[in-house]
Amino acid sequence: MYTIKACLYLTLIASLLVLSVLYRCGKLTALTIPLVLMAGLSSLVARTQAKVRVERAVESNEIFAGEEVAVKLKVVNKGRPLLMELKDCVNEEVPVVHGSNRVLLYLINAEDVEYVIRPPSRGLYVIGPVIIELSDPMGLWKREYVVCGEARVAAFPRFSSVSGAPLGAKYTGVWPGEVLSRRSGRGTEFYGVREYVPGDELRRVNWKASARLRRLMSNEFVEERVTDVLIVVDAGWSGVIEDELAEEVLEHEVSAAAALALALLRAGNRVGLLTRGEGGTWVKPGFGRRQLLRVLYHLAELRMGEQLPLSYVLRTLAHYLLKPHAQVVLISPVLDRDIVSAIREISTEYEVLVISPNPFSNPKGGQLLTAYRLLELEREMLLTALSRTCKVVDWDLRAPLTPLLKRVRVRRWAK
Amino acid sequence: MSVLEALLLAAWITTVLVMGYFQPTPLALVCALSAVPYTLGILTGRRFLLAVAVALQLPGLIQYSINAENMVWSCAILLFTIYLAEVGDLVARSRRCIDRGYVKRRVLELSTIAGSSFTFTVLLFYAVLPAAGFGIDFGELVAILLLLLLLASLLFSSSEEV
Repeated sequence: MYTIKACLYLTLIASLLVLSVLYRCGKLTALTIPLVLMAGLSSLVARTQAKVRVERAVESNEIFAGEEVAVKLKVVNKGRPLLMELKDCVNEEVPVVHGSNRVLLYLINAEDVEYVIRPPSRGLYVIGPVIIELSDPMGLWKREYVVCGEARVAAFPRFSSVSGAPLGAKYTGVWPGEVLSRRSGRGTEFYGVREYVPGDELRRVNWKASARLRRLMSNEFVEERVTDVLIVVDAGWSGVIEDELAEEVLEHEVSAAAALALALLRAGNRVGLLTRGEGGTWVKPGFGRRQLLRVLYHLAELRMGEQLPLSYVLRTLAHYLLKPHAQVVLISPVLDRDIVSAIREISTEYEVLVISPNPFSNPKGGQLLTAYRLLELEREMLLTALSRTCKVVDWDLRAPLTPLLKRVRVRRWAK
Repeated sequence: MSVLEALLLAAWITTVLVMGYFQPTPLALVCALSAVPYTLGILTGRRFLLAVAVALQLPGLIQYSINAENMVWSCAILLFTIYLAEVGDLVARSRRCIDRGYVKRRVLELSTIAGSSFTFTVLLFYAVLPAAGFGIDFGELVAILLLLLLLASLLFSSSEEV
């Protein structure tokens, strides 16, 4: 492919020839000779073929936003020594903090190229392809080859740990966990007293009751088991408040969802994810580290954008994703009346916890705009309405989430 | 500023001064101004500034060529200007990339090419052109060259990829 420089040289030669005709001056024609010779010799010297192999090694494909990733390229030349420009394409918004992804190489045998990128925010980033560019010494033309494919780096949202999520689901699984079930067994919550049976631990013997009834009695505790949790992240309220503020609240929502997913999975629960926004998606409940990665991948991709009403999304997908009487955790600033009807609808069948980050908790310049004040009032009304049907955590974004979660009372199931 | 950059700037300013010495006209002032975009182009890595520098240098060079008695000098100054611009372009490119021996090799290649071009040009002037003066009309020569140029430009436009 010819470059702009070639066009400029061509224009210069043409101009000199035209001027020589206009002035009837052969000296200007003679001036074109060294230019043509130089361009011709430059093309003769150039190499157009390359036998180059490039291998890329990315330090880690999964990082947290703001962390650095080292990318190493091993460039091997199987032919004669070669002059080339090597470029590993990186998204423009990702800064290269050490080294460079563009290298001018005189390649004899093999070279290592290393650079470090720092994805600024959560998301999925593509690195590559690697392009090598061969050109003549004057750069009148260039030829590009794609020599290595793409690699993906997922930048997960940053989050701080959360504990004490108040789960009150009636549905519990078979494995021991942290959710109070309706059965007696091993646990910490007192359930009742029954007659001692051989095999009971001595520390569970209720000595006072035994003395009163003149036979050995044992304490019973509420069995704590795992449950299924569906975390619903609402990013479908764009346009209600300023974009910058909305993005900030969304980041808090995503961080809270990630922290909850980690805490719940660590406790042995099955966790699923449902997101509403641009690229809204869902993950069926599951256990373990792989499930956490799945959830984090989907959270990394979540962007602001309204697609479907939350009531429709929940009505359609909750039954598909979750067993009856399991736990739903909705993370939303609750700026939409539709959310109240959606929660009312599903709270008959599921235990619902609403975590609502307050977008107006940190007003700029200490004062809220009148419009925001009205929105805040409306939000407070919606939260009051919601608190009649489910547990609500009104989250002041300046404060950590854990103490607020611990303040919420969990329903104790009757004997 | 590296040694190569300092050398390039010194060479460009020298060329400009030589032009001003041989041809003390207002166009020499324009030539002198070309040192500004050249310096900025090299120091900031903006390649278009080098093209601007060459464009500012050309009017003075053309005027000098029209008035010159010896064309070899004109060709030498033009070649040297183009050579400095090309090396400056390499330095400007290396500002945005990491250089691993590329610039050095390319400068050597460019030096060879510029030197060879100058030699061939001088040979042409002393051997071929005086002979051509007997048989070929000037108008015909220019017409042939324009035709060749037209063909070359057609080739350029038809073959986007080599």
